[in-house]
This record gives sequence, C-alpha cells and structure tokens, in this order.
Amino acid sequence: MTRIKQIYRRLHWLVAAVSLALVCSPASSRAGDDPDKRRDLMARIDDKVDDLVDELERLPGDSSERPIDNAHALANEIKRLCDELEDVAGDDTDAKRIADQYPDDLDELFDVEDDLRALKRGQNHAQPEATQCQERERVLVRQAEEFEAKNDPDGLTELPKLAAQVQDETKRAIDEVHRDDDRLEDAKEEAEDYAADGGLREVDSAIGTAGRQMYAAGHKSEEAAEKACENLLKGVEHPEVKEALAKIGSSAGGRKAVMDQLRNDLRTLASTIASVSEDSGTGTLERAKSLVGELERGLDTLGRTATADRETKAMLEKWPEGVKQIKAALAALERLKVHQHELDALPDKCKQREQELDDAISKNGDDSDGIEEIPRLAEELAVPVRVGLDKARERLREEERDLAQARDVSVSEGPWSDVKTAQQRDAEETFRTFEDALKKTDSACEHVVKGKASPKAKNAEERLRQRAGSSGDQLDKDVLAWIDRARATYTLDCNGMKDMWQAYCREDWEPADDSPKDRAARTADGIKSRMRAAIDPVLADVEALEARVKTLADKRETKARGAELQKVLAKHKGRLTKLASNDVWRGNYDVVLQFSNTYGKQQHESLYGSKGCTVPTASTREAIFPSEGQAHFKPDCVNPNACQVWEFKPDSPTGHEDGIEQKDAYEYLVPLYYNKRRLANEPASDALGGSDIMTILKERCMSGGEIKLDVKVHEYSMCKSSYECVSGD
Amino acid sequence: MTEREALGVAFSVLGGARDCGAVADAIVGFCDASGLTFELLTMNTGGGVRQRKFLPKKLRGYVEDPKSWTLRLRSEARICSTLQAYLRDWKPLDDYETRFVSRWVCVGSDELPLAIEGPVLEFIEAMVRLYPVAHGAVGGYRALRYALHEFTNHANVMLTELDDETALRLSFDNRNHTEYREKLLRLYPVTIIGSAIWSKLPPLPPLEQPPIVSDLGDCKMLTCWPTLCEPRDPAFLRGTRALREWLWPYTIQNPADHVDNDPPAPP
Repeated sequence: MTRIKQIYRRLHWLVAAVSLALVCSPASSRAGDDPDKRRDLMARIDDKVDDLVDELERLPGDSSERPIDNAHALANEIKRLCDELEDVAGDDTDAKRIADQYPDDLDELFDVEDDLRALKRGQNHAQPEATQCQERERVLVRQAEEFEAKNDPDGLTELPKLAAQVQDETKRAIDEVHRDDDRLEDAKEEAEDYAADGGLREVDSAIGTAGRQMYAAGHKSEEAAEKACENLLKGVEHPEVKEALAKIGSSAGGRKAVMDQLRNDLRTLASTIASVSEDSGTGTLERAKSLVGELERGLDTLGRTATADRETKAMLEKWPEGVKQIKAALAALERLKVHQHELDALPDKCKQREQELDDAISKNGDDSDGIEEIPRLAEELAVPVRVGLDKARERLREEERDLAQARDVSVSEGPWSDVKTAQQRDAEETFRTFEDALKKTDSACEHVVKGKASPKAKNAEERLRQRAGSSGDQLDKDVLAWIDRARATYTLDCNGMKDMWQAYCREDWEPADDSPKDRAARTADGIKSRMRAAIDPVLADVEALEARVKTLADKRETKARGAELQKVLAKHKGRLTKLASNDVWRGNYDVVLQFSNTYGKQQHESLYGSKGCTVPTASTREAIFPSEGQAHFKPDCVNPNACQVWEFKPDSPTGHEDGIEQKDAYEYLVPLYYNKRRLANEPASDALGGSDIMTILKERCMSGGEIKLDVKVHEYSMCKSSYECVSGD
Repeated sequence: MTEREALGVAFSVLGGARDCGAVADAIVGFCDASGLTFELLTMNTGGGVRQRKFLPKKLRGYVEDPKSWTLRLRSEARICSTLQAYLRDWKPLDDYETRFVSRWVCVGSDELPLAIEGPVLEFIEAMVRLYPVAHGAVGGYRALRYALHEFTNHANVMLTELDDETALRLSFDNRNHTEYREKLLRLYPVTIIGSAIWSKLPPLPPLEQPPIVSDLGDCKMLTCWPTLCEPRDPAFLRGTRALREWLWPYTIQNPADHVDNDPPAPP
C-alpha cells in the first residue's frame, strides 16, 4: 500500500475521531463508550489492514505461500480487535460499522484462501509437461533419424506406432494441463468474486489483483507447454517422422514389410474376432479394435509410399473399405457384447422371488390375514420383474438391429473372407446368448410375473378363503367372525362416509357454524367416538374366544393350530386395544383420511370410465412414465383419441396446488415420452399403451411434426351429488 | 360476489431467471409499490408443493434455493390475484427436451388499474431485464378468472369456469405449448416480442392504425389498441385485422384466432 494512502486513511480517522469528540464529549463516560480506547483500536485495525494488503500484494512474486499464512494471522488479529472495538464503539457509527462488518468480510477472505493457494501452486503448473515434451521430442526424432539412416523397413511399422503412442501420451498430458488451467481460472474467478467495501476495499482489490497475476503466470506456462508439445500432437504427421517414413517407404523392401504386417494383422484379427463371444469380458473385443487401428495406420503408411506395383495398388483399393466395414460392425458387436450376459442372473432372481413367495405362504400357514397379504406380496414381487422383462424385450429389439449391423460386412476378397465369417458367426453367438437368456428368464419368471394371478398365490388365497369360509371348524369361524367385527370398528362404513360427506357438503348449517373443514373434523371426532365405543364390547368378547383357543393350543394334536389362532387373535386384539386408548388415530385409521381416500378412489374410478382413458390400462392400475427428474410421473388418464392427458384432483386448495404442479410435470414428460418413442420408431411400453396407443397418437395428435397433448386437471367436487348408501354397502 | 375487470400480464420465457435473487427483489418491490398483497407463497420444488405464509423479507431465500423451480403468490381465496414466476430448470435439458417445458412469468389481478404505468410498467421492465423473454402480452379481462386462465397454469385446471369458446381456444394453446419458444400466441392489445421472434418478422405493412412500437430491453413492445381488453374483444378484432394477418404466420396459429373466425361486424 502506498504511503499516501496510509496517510490519507489515518487523516480520515483522525477527522472522524475529532468530530466525534467535539459532538459527543459530554457523553464520553457512558458505559461502552471509551473514545480513547476506540481511537486506539481503530488506528491499530487500520495498521493491520495495511499489513494485510501488503502481504496480498507480495504474494504473486513470493517464492512460497507464506504471505497467505501471514494474511490469515493478520485477519484473525483484526477480528479480535474488532471484538474489542464492539465493546467501546458507543454511538460512533464508523466504529460500529467496522466492528460489525469487518469480521464477516474477513471470514469470507478465509473462504478464498484455498483458491489463492491453488493459484500460487499453479503459477508454473505446466512446466513439467513442457519438459517431458522436449524429452519425448528428442527420443522420437532420434528414432526417426536412425530408421532413415539405415533405410530400415521396420521403420514403416515401428515409427507410426511410436508416433501414435507419443501422440496419445502427449494428448493426455496436455488435456490434464488444460483441466488444471480451467481449475485455476475458477480459482481466479472465486478470488475476483471476493467483495468487501469501506476500509477493506483495498483488501478486495489486492485479492483480485493477486489472483489475476498468479493465473496469468500459470496460463503462460500452459502456452509454453502447448508450444513444446505441438509437433508431438501431430502423431504420424510429425514433420521428422513424416519425412523419414516417406524416404523408407519409397523402397520396395519397406513396402513389402508393411504389406506383410498388414496381412499378418488381418489374420490375427479374424482369429481374435472369433473369440469375442466366449470372452467373459471385453478384452478380446478391445484387442480386435486395436488391430483395426493397426490396419488403418498400416494402410496410411502404405498410402504414403510412391509406388505403381499392382499388389500394393490392389491392397490400397480394397482394404480401406474392409476396414471401414469391420469398424462399423465391431461397434455394433460391442453393443451386443455389453448386453450379452445382462440377463444371466435373472432366472435365479426369479427363482429367489418365487421362493420368497413360497416361504411367505408357508409362514402364513392358516392365518386369514394371508387372504390380503399373500396377493399383495405376490404383486410386490412381480412389479420389478415386469419392469425388467419389459426392458429386456425392448433391448431384444435393439439387439436385433445391432445384430444386423454387426453382420453387415460384405468385403470378402482373400484373407477378408475369414474376417467376415468370424465377425458374422461371433455376432450371432453373442446375440444368441442374450436371446437364450431371455427365453430362460421368461420361463423362470413365468409364475412370479403374474403377481397375485400366479397359481401359487391364487391357490394359497383360495385355500385360505375356503378354510375361512367353509371349514367345519366352528372355532376357526368364530375367530374369523371376531376379526371381521374388529376390523369393522375402525373402518369407515358407508354410513360413516355419508356422515363425512354431509359434514363437508351440507348447506343447511347455521350461519354461525364454522368452516366445512372444522365441521368435518368435528364429525370425524364423533364417528371416531362411536367407533371407539364399539371397540369395548368387541374386546370383551375376545376373552371367551381366547379361552377356547387356549384349550386347543394345550392339546398336543391341535397345538400348532391353536398357536396360530392365538397369534392372530393377539395381533388384532393389540390393534384394537391401542385404538381404544389412543385419542388420535393416525395414518390409515384417521377418519378424515379414510373418507378422502375412499371418496377419491370412487371418483377416480368413475372419471376413468367417463374420460375414454386407455392408459393406465385399468382404473386400478398406474401409468408410470419415465420420471425425467420430476416427482410426478403417474397421470391418472391418457385418452389418445382426444389427445388428452388428465389428472383427477379434489377441489380443495391442496388439490388445486398439487394439480398445478402435476400439470406442469405431465405437460413435460408425457408428450416427451411418446415423441421419443415415435422418433425411435418403437412402441410405447405395454403399461403405457404399447403399439396401439402409438398408432392412435400418430393418427390423431400429430401437428407440426410431433405428437401434441393437452394436459388438464379435472377437479372433482367433493359435494357434486349427495352421498347415499344402499342396503349392503 | 360481483366480478371486476382484471389485468393480465404474462411472459413466456426461454429459460430460468438470470438472477433469481433479483426476481425476488423485483416482486417485493412490485408488491410494495402497487399495494398488491399476497398471503401464501407456493413453491414447486418437484418434490411436492411447499407452501408458506408470504413474508416479503424471506422471499429471496426461498427463491434462491436451487430446489425451487416455480413460485406462485396468491391468497386463501379460490380465485384471487396471483403472481407466478418460473425460476429455473430442474435439470440440464437438451434442445429437444426443453421444447416440452412451459415457462411462464405472469400476474393476474383485479386489484390493479387496467393500464401499463407505474409499478406495473416497472415490473414489466424488470422481468424483461431478468429473463430471456420469448414473448409476452398485456390484456384487460372481463373477470379475474379469465385473466388467470389466459396464461398461468391455472388454465385447464378449472375450465368449467370459462365460456366454451375461451376454453376451446386455451385448450389449443395448451396442446401446442411446445411451440411457445419460437412462436407468439396471438396478437394482444399490448404484445411484447422477444428479439429472436422479432428478427424473423417482415416489415410492418402500411396500416390505417399502426401499432406504437417501443423498445423494452431487448424486446419490442407493440401497443396495438388504446385500451387493455381481451384478445377476442370484437372491437379489437375489427380494428387489428390487418395487423393480425401480418402476424399470423409467426403465431401458433390457433384456429380460433384466424381472421376468418372473427365475429361478424355489428349491423
């Protein structure tokens, strides 16, 4: 910092302090208002800030990071002085501002310390790469000169390899240098973003300047490295290499060596491709790709030789096309290879899931809860399998396309015939592995995928139903009847639904009444009280049942069955006891929630039927679109005939807000999904309408070259028509 | 309750705000200056609706939260003055994906005068500065629900509250939202045209009543009618027929807006 600035700043404080003394001297004895100490502290802070700026200014030219450490220590010292100043600031606005603002600004200085250190370390960051390039350059040129001096035909194959290898290494090194430069630029911008004003404005400016200077030095070292590596990045076009190759290649011996190597590489390529399918990894495929690279380089070398002999010309005429074809075919083979064993583990997974269902059925025994639990579990187990199988079938269609591309090699002259045969055979084998695995998966998952409709789940459910319904055992029947009564106590029946509906919707309430929400809450409380009152008599009856079950459990021959019944009774008794003693019924027991869930479900079913929906495929199913990062991806209805997407919502404030958010999401992801399918010329997944929906959408909803859909939210009234119960509800 | 005429201001924007914090400041400034009050702040976060009591001093914090995509300010009443602003994309989108996103910044209110002046003008200027605007519009509507439906995503949420003609017209708009980036919706009494669309327009034809074209940031503001009215107002349609014909190729070409569908002139 210049001396003039320091003097100016001190004068500024002096004037402020003298003015303050003149205006405020009578109050100077007030607590927290010590002008002498305040003046002293402010002057000391000012000095430290000057020192801090000095440290930052000398950072770019220093040989170490020590100025940053010094600046850190000074910043801490200033913060400590600010704490002291706060106690004696009194009404002095300058002192208060310093005490208040400086610590925050200095904390932010700590935040940019790492950036300053990175910039300091990066001032010569590309120097090692520049040195390495000089060394590589020396080695490569020496090699080129040696081959050229001996007119050694090996140079025609070895030099391009060496040049390519050096090119690759250099490219990686230079890429890393560029990444370092990007990181340093970010650090510079962070340093420039540091902002402070008032007395710390000089600090702000010094940080920015230091950051820019250090970055400029680093960037200069990057430019020097780029220059040193320039020729190496040209690979085989390196001037010295190119010249040596031209000289060696113009001799007959040189050409022969290159052509022999090319034939050799082609033979190796044929045998390598033949093993791709059986390789458990992708090593063989990589080797094949690398051989194709060798062939390309060899042909390039041969192409640079000045010759008119027939054999060379023939090779240069036909082989490049072969290389082009095999390159494209290998790319397709690689895609086949990537997915080749993808399904191998799935059959076992399906067996495991089937076993899981078996175990659950066996564990459930004769518990009537299984009537609900087993189908639910079967569905739960089926969902991922269905998704997986859908994806696998989708992949199979892609595999068929990839197979066609992988087989698409037509060049078959001479040694290319073996390559063509190997490529086509191996592509088929690789494809076949996937196809066979899909067949095995289909077979192994045959039952699991059916979910609750699988024979095992259905049989178990049927058996439990029969046992529950028509077993001759009176005790079983009595226990089941008791469980039904227990469930009825906490389940909102039709009359409860009606009461709740009336609470929300009746209009003949007195003017002094509160809102529908309050009325509903009060009605729900009333219903809950009725429900709770009904619990006690049900609980009272359980004791007699328990005694009868105990008798059963005490007998050796009926012990197992008795124990099961005891378990079932204990579970339901525990649930009832808890509900009887809890004032608040939460979750699925909450009466208001039961009402809105049941009402919503009924409305959804009714609207699904009236809106011409084809997706989801049934009102009880869900249409799950790829989420594309959105939280909502399950619209209630897609009607392709009307180019319409629907979301059904209750006409409540939360329903309204949710509806708007869902509309936003579906507007984005539903047309996007069908348009992506259209562009890929693929059907939608079965759950989202399959090929049928695509046909209708393309026929009816295309406009301006894309499928367009209108997304609407249907807000169903909670009070549209009166809620009536009929006998049997 | 008697319905009052309402002002509708809207922008279709090409992306998120350039500075979300400044958007918050502009909204708070607009509320202060216009006297418009909101009770509820609703943020769409993708993970659900996050609703808070609207406290102006906290708006900046919510808006700067990278999880917030859209904000909506309203009150408890079902139909009430509403301000909605798209803030940012929820993930990086490629060119194709971005077509499917509707991005709006809009205000509908029956508590503001039907004029572009004072706080309303300042708000419009701020939004043009803070967003990459594709196009925008200002109109006056017979009732607040019409102003809200014209642009905001309330559209089609409560379609039964509109007459059939408007509902049908807005349905078409909605279905063609993938074209909002490149095309205007239609001519409004005041139509704001972003630089990309403006650069494609041919010169204005000679007109009996040419619009007033003024610069608004890097957009152009076409004042086409002396009063703020609805875009299907019969007098407005009669007075702007040639202008609408000129603009037609650069709109989403909603059949309802075609000059052949203009209402018959009064006898």
